[in-house]
Amino acid sequence: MSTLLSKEFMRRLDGISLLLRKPVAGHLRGQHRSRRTGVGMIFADYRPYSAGDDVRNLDWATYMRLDRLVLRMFEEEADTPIYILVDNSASMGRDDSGKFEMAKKFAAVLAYVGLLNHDRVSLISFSEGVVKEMPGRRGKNQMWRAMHFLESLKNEGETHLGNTFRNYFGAGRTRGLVFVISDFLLEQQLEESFRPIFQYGHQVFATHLIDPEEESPNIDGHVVLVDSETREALSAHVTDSTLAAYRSEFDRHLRDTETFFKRSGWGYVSLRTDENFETSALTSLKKEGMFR
Amino acid sequence: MTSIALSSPLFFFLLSGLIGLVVLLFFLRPPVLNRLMPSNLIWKRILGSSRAINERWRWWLSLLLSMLIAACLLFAAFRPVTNGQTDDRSLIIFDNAPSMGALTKDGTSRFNVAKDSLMGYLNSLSKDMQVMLVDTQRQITTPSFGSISQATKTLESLNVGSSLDPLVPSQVGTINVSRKFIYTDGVMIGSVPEDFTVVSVFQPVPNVGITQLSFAAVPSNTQQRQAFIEVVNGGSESQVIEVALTQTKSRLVTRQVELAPYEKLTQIFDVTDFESGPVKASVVSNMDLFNADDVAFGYITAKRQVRVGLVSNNSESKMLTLLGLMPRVVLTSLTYPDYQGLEADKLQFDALVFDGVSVDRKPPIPAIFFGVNSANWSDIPTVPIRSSQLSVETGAIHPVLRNIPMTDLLIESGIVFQPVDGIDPLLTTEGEGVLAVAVPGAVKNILLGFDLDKSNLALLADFPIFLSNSITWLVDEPPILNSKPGTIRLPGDITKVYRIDGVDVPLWFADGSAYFHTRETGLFTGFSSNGPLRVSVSQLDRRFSDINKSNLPSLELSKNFVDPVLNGYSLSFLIGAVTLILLMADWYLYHRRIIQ
Repeated sequence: MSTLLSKEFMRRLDGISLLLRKPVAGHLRGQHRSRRTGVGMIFADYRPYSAGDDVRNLDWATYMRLDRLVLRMFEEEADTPIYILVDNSASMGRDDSGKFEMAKKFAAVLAYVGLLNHDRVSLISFSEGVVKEMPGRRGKNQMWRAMHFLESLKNEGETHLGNTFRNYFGAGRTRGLVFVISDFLLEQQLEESFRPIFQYGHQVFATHLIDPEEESPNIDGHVVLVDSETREALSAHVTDSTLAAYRSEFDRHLRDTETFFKRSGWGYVSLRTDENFETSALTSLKKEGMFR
Repeated sequence: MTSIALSSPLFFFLLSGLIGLVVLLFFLRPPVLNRLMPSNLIWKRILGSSRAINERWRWWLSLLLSMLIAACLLFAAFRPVTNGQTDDRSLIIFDNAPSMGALTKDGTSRFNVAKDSLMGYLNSLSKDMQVMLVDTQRQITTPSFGSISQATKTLESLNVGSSLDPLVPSQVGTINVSRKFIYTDGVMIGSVPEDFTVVSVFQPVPNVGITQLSFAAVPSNTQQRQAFIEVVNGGSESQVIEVALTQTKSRLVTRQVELAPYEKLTQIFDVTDFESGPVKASVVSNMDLFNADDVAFGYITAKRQVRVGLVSNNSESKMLTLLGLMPRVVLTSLTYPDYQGLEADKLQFDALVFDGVSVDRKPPIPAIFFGVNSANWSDIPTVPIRSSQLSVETGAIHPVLRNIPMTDLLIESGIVFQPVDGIDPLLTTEGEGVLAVAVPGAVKNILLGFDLDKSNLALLADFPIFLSNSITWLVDEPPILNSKPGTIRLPGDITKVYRIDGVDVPLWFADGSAYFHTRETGLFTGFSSNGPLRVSVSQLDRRFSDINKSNLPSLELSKNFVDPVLNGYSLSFLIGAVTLILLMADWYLYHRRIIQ
């Protein structure tokens, strides 16, 4: 079906469902707890019966005891909009890096699990803004569309999360779960970029992709470092001390990114491209309580 | 005083090397590796903090250095002439001492190297420049500031001089010009004013030369003669040389000797087989770049025995004993009647000695007269000595009085001669007159106005020498005049001077003397009514052969030697050196400007 996910791995994903910490705001039936009461399995409250209510929810035992018609209310299980934003800027796309490939795989996992859980899954690729979008789809049969979308992505441009969020969520999206898959090598401040998310009340789960070559580059001597996004050249004479300083700064960058998401109450996982994707993806998602 | 010099090949070599270095540095620059990075975000953070300020400064400094390097290379390539100074006068002392005639390793002389250098400098000056050229041999009689063309003509007319005492006129030190140069090898020239810039043409070269040459009879055997030759090695390397004395092809003696560096060696040659006449001494060496001192000339005087007739009425006189003891003299004693009885053609003598005998006519052969009471035949007026116990002075330097002080001579009685033209006073007394005279001419005479018995002359230790000198002067050729190249002063009666090859040498007369000029060594003969005068011209002087005694730096010389100081290659060289320094600084910055 797809080159992104193997059949075996998809079979493992069949038994996994998304676990959301907060009630969702979906309008259609789904498998997530909703703030609305209605048809559901979990008892929520009683209320007096009024004409027009579904008589199937009348609590006849209470009527027998109190001689009043009382209606049982259940938490309605609804779907949730899942917005999977895949960073397809140039920094993701080095041939030997694997970050972009891993991002697409990770998005495919999320989309697959979301569609299995009857959630509305939207796929968005972004760089300086929204580049390509697959509108919200429900149902497992939409998986082929999602895979096709992901496979058709090509990386280019600079990363600008703030623009992307304003462009996409400014259109009045239903509050939902926002997966951001990126390397987070941003010129902008994270707080500034994620401000629209805060405003619209979305839940965010950040997936930070790390290339070991970025963490500890194998360069020495006089080099001209060309930024893959901006094409800005930077001459540098790389020495051991320079590399040590770089590694220290990169570690600080990772820590700052993780701290930002944790402090915001959002989920955060980091995936290294040199690790086994299937294992690390599932482990980290389960560890973060996203998968059950 | 500074000494700077640079030949053009050396300059071009250095300039080419510099350019080559620049090109080499360009190709040796670290290869720039372009690395495509996902993002320079982290790199900019770690590099930006330290580079932000320094990089800007480094960039400007690097730009400045690059511009300076480019300017310097342009200046060095086009060799700008610094004629823009306010002072448009140059004072140049040109050393043309004999040592400047030494050859360099290039085969040209120091003189020509200096001349070419100065010519190049003159040609590089602007047309309105005023130049004063002064030489150390006074060939330029009235130095003055003039145009460059005049200086060029003057320079063309200069030659290597012969004076071993080159003179730097003291007045040049007082001339206030900013450009003062002296072109010299620093060997013979004396002190140089401090503010002169020395352009050195000195180059150590091997040299051997003759510094002394003389001939003398062996005291114990008047028939044997010896030549004394002093040779010196003026170079810093040992040399095996051949010393030769040549008169004719058949009369040639040679000897090989080894000379240590700067060694002086005296060699004695037996020249008994040589005839009287000119002799040439020479040294031959495989390594000798100064030929002027390789040849010396001399004359061997007549060595025959002298037949002397002593005319005296005293058969036991001291004169008889003295003359009899002189090895050179073959003595015949005569009485005055015997002498009168002999006809003129029967006088088989070279000289006559009249001891206390007055004659009434002049002898046909040279003679010396002791106790001339009356010498009417000589046309020299005489008067008796008025006082006794006269003290005598020997004023004139005459061959007869050579090496004789005669300070203790006392006279009891006699006559004195009145000075007339054509005679040479030998002994004079204060207030009385001339006691002894020498009469030159074809037949020479020496007249003494006192008897030996009336004086203590015969008792003096100088008397045998006086007698020997007198006989030598009477019978021998005139003494040989040894001189150095240059202007040579001769007696005033010399009317002609010929070189040994027969060429007539121009003479001029001044102050009662005759003069001729020669720049080359050789043999000359002057003629007068008194007979020939041999003149030997040789550079027999140790100073002449010491052509390497210079404190100036040795230089690699070139025919295209160009003024090293104000312009041309030296300035280019300096600019090139500055360029090299700037290049190194830029190279350092090139590394540093990208280093964290």
